[in-house]
Amino acid sequence: MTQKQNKANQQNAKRSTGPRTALGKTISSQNSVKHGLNQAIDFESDTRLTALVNLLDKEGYSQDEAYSVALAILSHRRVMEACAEQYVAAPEIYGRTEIALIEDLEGDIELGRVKINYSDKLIIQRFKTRVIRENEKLGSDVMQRVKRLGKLIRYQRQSVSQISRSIREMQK
Amino acid sequence: MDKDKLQQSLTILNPIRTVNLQDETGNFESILQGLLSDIETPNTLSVLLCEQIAESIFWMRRHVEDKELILLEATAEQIDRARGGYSRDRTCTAEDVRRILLGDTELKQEIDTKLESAGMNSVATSFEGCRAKAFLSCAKEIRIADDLIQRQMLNIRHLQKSLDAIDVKSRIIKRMDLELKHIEQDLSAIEHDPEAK
Repeated sequence: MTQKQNKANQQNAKRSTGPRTALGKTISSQNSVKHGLNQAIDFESDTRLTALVNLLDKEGYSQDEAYSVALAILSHRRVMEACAEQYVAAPEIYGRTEIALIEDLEGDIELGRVKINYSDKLIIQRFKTRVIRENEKLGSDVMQRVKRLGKLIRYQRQSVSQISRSIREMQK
Repeated sequence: MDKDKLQQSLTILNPIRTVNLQDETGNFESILQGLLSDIETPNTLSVLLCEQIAESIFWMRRHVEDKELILLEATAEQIDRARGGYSRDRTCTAEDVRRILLGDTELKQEIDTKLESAGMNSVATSFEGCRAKAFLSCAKEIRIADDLIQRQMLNIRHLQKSLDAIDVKSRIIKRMDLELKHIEQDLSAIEHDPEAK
C-alpha cells in the first residue's frame, strides 16, 4: 500500500457513518436485538457449510479456499435474510393497543353501558390527536421499511467485501 | 445452446440453493435463469454467485418501486392536507397521483380546482406545488432509498467481478486442458505412425 493510498484511507475513515452522540449509540446498541447481525455466529454446525465445502473441494479448490468462500457466502446469506425479514416486518404503530381499548370504550358509551364526563372525553380526544401526530412522524409502511433497511446497508457492504476478498485470495 | 447451459446450471444450483425469497411475482426466478443461461462454464461457485447477483437485482428493483411509492404517498398526503384543512380524512391515494403522472389530465384538473377553492389551504394551490412539497417532506427517506439502490448496484459490481475472475480462470483451465489433449493426440499419432513426423 503506497503512502498516498494510506493517506486517502485515513481521510475516508474520518467519514464514519456510525453513531456519534450518546443517544445515537444507545439506540444502535439495540440493533442486535432487532436483527441479530451484530452478534457473532458459528457456522460450523451449519450443514450448508459442509455441503458447500465438499462441492468446492470436488471442483479442485483447496480445503482452506473452499472453507473461506463457503463461509463468506453463508455470512452474506445471513445478512440478506435479515434484510428480507426487515422488509416484511410489521410496521410500528403508535398507540395501537390503546386505540383498540378506546374504540371498545366508545362502543360501550354508544350502547349506554358506560358514561364518561366532559374532561374524560377531552382526554380521549387529545390522546387520539397525539396518536395521529406520532404515527405521522413514524411515517407510512414503506417509509418505515426503507428506514429499517437503511440501517443494514453497512452489513451488506461487509459481507459482499468478504466474498470478493475470499475469491481474490483463491485467484492468487 | 443457452438452454443447455441453463439446464446444466440449474442441475448444479438446485440442490444447493441459498436464496429463498417469498416472491410470488416470479421476478427473481426469471432474473436468475437469465443470468444462468449466460454462464460460460457452469460450476458450483459461478452458479452461487449468479444467485447472489440475481437477488441483488431483485432487491434493487424493489427499492426503486419503494422510492416511487414514497413520493406518490407523500404527494397524496400533501394534496389531502391542502384540501382538507384540519380534517384528517384521506381521500387522495398514491394510485390517484400515479394516474395523474401517467397523463390523467381530467383528474389533475379536478384536483387543481379543489386546491384553488379550498379554504385554509396553506400547502399549495396546484398539483405541482403539492408534489414539490412532498419531495421536501420525504427527502430523508428518498435519500435512504437512493442509498439502498446504490448499495445493490455496488453489490452487483463486486459479485460480477468475482464471477468474471472465476469464469475466466475456468475458461483458461478448460482451454489449457483442450490444448493438452490435442498435444497428447498429436504425440500419440507420431508414436503410432512414424511417417507422421
